[in-house]
Amino acid sequence: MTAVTFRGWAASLSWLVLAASAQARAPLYERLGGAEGVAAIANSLIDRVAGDPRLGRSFKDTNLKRIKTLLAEQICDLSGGPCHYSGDSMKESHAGQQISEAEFYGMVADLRDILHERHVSQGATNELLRLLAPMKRDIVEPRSPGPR
Amino acid sequence: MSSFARKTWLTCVGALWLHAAHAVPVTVTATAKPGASAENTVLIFDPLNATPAAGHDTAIIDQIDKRFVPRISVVRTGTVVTFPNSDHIRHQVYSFSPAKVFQLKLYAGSPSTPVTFDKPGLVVLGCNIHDRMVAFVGVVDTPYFAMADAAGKAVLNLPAGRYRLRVWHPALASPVASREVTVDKAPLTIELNVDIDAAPSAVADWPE
Repeated sequence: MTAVTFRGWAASLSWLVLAASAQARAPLYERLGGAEGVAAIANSLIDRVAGDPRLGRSFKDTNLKRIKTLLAEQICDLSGGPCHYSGDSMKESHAGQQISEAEFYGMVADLRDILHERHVSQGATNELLRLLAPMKRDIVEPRSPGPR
Repeated sequence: MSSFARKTWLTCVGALWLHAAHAVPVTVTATAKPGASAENTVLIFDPLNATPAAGHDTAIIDQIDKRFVPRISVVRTGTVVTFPNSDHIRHQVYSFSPAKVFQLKLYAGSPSTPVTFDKPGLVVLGCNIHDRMVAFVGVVDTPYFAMADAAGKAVLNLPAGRYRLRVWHPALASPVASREVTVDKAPLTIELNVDIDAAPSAVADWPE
């Protein structure tokens, strides 16, 4: 087999694999409900955590509308939607807030509940959580004493 | 002491004495209606017969416990204002006021670029992240200004001359008409009534 044919074969194979996976499931953004679904997820999540006495302290006196808009933009961007996240990095936005691991997982649990209530599939839920998981190291304060 | 040093010293003292001789104490007392305070009422004296030299002042507006400190400032046109951040969290200071439009990201522990207030007028500051934070910067073309203390009183030392007195407070329910003031040799006392709204719904217009 010459190099040229091999390259051609490899290219068509990867094209086939891509086509097959695209056919198997729609982009994550669509499975989250597109613009409307993502906005609703972000709104519910921020409302829920801000109103939760165990999680709300770092949202006190903050502009919740702005956080909701930026969170929706971030989820849209991460899930392959037509957005570009314009906010600060997770490290910058959480610096000094002393976010504990319990607070981080509390918010994750709320997100899971919201996705479940909105009938987002288990596959899409896991995919979204997998995209968000690496942010933990920038959000949670190392050896944080938790809420003071 | 050399004769040169003595001469210089005498010239300095002389200049100070001359300056002091020209400055006349002007006491302003602002009185609010019962239940309201005239504290921080802004008093601006614009000279009508002299042009004061441009200033190169600096000022600081800090962020402490999700508040701007001070909440109200008056600065001369051209003043360079530094925005430190004493909080452990970030802030995003902005202004949409025509006198100065800017946005400044303040991260805990890292200094930000100072902002030059180069046009006279009122600048209202907010924070994108904490929408209840608000501060006011009155930018004026005169070095003669003051803010009333808790008793509504302010004392200024003004060179003799004619001035226009402008009065402002963010919670003024009705504007205070600007008035002409003549400062002569004798100390001067000015009494003002200010209608301060205890629960204002809007920011009072800036007296241009």
